[in-house]
Amino acid sequence: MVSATLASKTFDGHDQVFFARLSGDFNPIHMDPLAARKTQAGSAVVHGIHAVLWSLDRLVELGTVTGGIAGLKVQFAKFIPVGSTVHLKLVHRDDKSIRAELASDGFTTTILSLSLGTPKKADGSAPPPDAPRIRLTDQPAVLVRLEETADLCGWVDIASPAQWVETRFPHAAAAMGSVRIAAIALLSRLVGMICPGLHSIFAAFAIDLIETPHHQDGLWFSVSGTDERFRMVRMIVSGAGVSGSVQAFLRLPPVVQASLSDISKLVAPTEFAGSTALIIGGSRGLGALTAKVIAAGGGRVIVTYAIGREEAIQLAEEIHAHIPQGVCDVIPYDARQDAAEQLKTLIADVSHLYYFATTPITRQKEGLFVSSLFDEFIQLYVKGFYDCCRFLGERGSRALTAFYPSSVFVENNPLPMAEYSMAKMAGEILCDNMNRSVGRVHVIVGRLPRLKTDQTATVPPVESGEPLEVMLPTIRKVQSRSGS
Amino acid sequence: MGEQEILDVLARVLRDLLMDDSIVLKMNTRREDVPNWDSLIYINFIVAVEIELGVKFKVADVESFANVGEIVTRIRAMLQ
Repeated sequence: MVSATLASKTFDGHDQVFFARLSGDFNPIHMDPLAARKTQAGSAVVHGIHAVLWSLDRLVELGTVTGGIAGLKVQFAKFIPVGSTVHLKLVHRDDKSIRAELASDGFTTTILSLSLGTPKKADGSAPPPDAPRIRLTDQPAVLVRLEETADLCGWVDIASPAQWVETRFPHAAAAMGSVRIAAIALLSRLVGMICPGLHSIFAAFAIDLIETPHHQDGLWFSVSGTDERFRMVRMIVSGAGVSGSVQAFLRLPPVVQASLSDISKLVAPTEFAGSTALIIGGSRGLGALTAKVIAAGGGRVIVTYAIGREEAIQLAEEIHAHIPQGVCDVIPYDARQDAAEQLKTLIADVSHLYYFATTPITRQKEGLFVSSLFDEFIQLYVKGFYDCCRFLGERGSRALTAFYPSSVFVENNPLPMAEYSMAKMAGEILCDNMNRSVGRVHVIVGRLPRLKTDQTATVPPVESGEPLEVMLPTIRKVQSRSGS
Repeated sequence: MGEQEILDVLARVLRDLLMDDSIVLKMNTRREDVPNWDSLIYINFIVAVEIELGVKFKVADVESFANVGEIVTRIRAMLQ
């Protein structure tokens, strides 16, 4: 049975700030949209524990939970983007347990199972009171290698006054005790700030409620195991009236592309002199790498951004730190909007176009084919490219060479990526037609393999190619066809 | 262990992870056939199966399994 929605909530920026203070979890994946953009989440996401506590509060308030709670088990299945609405549904209830789910946009994000009954008696295996207390700041621990987590243990202090918990989650606090609710909130701090910290993904936890809390003011944790293959960390936790286990993943850090210094060792300083390249979507990833390569070779670059203004400016600063001012300009550009309107004030005579406009390509979706997603990809990868080429081709005084980054997914056709692969295939057909027609635009298509970028970061890590090794010969090929 | 015994273990582990007693696994069941069997939960499932059966998969195996039957076959080979 899956019930109708019991309750719904849209988590907004105020919720993020409040729960960060309540829990002590200030991880940028929750608080900084630009930093979150570089993670698997693709955007800032709700603290999973916040969604769990809100669900508990609703389940108690609505009378779904009657009697005592003996334990709680949670699996986090998907991220909840900030600004999205979650719906709480009851899946199963009997006299021993309740199973509920949180869903957003038709997908289950969180699975909760409550054991009904009374808290367990303490079994005498109290956590060590003399274990170190973790010194906490508002900056998460930066752990990169899994072995750095292996021996971590200690006490984590509850982050906020009991009144905050009682005000925000009054029904859950009444049913379970505000100290226990604070302890559950503290799991968010444990994973997001301490272990694994900055590069974490909270996967699951299971706790029993303990009758007599040994320690009311904090939670003791100890790493009980790690798995290098999946970068997985398992912990045991105890204190503040709860005892149980936590599972999290240590994400790979965001990809850092090759520096201009490194690139300069591979590119002759005048290799691309005389060219002016417009790089759509050049603020990060392959676009930023391309900008650095061309600038290192003496070309001029105009980098566009849709969201990442700061990243684009940082890129220009890096280029100008090595190369005289004026070789890199930064302009806003949204590939879903009208190209002519956005580029009409462009003074430079563009000789080359690199079209790296993109959007998160791995999406949560239901079913084999989602037409709205296909439409979105077509708009970006086909219409947006065509409009941009057409405007530059008609406006410029010289012929334009454009690079269209297609994908090996066109050949491999991975099942979950159907819309993306189809849109890229459509883009290739468009490029072929453009080259067969009489025009001033010539398009070079490259089916790029899976490369290390923020878009391809996964848990577990999947082998990906080095972007510079692939892009340098591609850029040389495109640049060798100069506008005339 | 026979095919059915392994299949029963896999079903029990997955039911426990997804907290859903209605899950039924067959040899041709794919991940997308089971609601909520997403990538993170798949990893949890693999690790739980390893602990339960005392086996250890290679990452390449984990990525390549197209359906439950291939997991069962791999486990049988490891247990022999």
